[in-house]
Amino acid sequence: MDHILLLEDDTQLRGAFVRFLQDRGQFEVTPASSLKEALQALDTFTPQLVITDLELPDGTGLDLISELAARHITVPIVVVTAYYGRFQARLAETPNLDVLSKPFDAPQLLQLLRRRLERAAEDAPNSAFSVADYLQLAGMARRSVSLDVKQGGRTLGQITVVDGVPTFASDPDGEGEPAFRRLAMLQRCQVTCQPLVGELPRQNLSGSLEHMLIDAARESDEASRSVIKAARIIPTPNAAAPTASAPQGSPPAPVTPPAAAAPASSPQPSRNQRPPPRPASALATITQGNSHALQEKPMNASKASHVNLNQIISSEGSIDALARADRQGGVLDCVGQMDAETACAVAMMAAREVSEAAAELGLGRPIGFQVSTNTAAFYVVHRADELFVGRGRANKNPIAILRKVAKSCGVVP
Amino acid sequence: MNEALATLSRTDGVIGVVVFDDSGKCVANDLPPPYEPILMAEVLRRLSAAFDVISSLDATEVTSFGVDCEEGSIVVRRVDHHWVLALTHSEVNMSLLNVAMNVVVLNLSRTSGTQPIGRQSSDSLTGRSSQVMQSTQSDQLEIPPDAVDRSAVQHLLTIYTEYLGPAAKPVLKQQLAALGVTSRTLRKGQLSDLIARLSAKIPVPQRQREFTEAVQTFRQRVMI
Repeated sequence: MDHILLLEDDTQLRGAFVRFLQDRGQFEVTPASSLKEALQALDTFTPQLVITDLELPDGTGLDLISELAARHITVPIVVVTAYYGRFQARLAETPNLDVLSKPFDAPQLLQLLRRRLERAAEDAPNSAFSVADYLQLAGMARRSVSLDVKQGGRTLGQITVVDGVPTFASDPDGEGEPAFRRLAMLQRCQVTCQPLVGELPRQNLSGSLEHMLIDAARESDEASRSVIKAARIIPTPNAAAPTASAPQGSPPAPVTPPAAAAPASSPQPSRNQRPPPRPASALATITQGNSHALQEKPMNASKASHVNLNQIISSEGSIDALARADRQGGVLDCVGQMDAETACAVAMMAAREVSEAAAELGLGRPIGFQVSTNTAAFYVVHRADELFVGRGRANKNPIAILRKVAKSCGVVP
Repeated sequence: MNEALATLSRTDGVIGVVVFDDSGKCVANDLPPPYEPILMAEVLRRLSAAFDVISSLDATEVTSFGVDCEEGSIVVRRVDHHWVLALTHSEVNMSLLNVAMNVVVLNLSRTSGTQPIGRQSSDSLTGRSSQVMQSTQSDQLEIPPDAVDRSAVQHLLTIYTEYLGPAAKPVLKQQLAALGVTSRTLRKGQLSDLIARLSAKIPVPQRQREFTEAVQTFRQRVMI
């Protein structure tokens, strides 16, 4: 959840701001009514974004901006003011700053915040080495280190290596080997590698670093579009279904087996029952990364459900883009090229009509719906608290694809 | 016409089938009680309107849609000025249903002597008209003398976005189309109707009123 520092002296406006932003469910807001309060807040946390008024009882918003610079806090700043003209010259010199003139529209503010936070996340410098690089270096030198993995300021997880052997991994979706596999192949993220000092964390990993990396690379490889497509072209009913995988660049998430690649009747392999590794391609993946995997754009990772959008797209070739929205139509995350905000908003409106139509015909709770045009097909899957909105090419049997997507999203067994 | 539906009606899991023309009139049906064409027409009208907004994301028209529910499904195909709607149990084999739909589409198009065409020139169920399709071609566009200024429509959209969110633009486009106009050919006399239509799409009554008031203020200011 993005943490915003809000500096606004008008009590009513400040309250309205806080309510509006917190109601969106993707922001944590720390309000401050004066410059002093804002500076005190900065002593306790570093915000992802700052919203400030200019005219304050004990100074100006420019003082806050100067203080942010002095503390080397380079976060996006949104100035909300009715007196832009008076401060225009000085504001023009401040980088990473947007000005909203009062009065303004709430959606306008929201759009601006999302855009700025998204850009800030994209602009965050990535580590020179990937997670796998650090792990290999630690393994070769038999070092004890702790790796903290972040993306756009958001913590993705931790891996601990003791004497060159991974002993502990965790991410928001779990612990142990699945977490290790999700983290190890991540690219384009910020990795902090620190020597391990003090008490050792408990152990939830066993096995050699090399094997774990190869497993992670293999699964990442299998998650790629090309491998999944090949599996669909040549169905192998007796083959074991792929296990958890996480394309690099995507936030960690427990994996739903690809519907097309894993028929419902296929026996699921147990945790210890691993297919043999494919060293050649796996090693290539460790060092080069997986160019096929799509980048998942997190917009509100804290609310993300345990569905891997990348994997659904990989397993269902007819879908080019997929977004996840809350039941108000607000976009939580999106993969692929789509105007997710508009698509999710109209899908949410349509979902209301669908529910009423289903009730009129006594068809029970809607699972999802699809709409096809001459050139495209849209898929909307209902979950208790989320909507999944997909867009793909026009095809001959869209409702069958809808059912596959619903299955992948865990809506139907 | 009923013969054309036979393949579909006999498919396992299909409860009933009905065909409507563009005006919403039932031209054939094989529906068991308690389902009646009048109910199905209402459902089709409701869904078509909702899905028309989605299809506007692609700037083309709906050719088919399906709703999958726990207890059954609705599958709809657009074919040659008709809508074929099948109501099914949840366990229907969608691949077989799809084949049966294809057969019906071919039968219907043979009956009418034309090839099935997805994009139609008129579509009263979704509120679109041939006028809209023609008016999208700018070289043929005739702007009426009493047309609302485009910047005013743009401002209306800005206000509407505040109340409806990101769906505002496609909904505005849909409602303009339902009136048979575009943002450039909307007449001043149609503005009240448009505002009422837009307001109806806002889910909260209080917000509907606020929107209407905000637009009213704007209209007074620009004297529309």
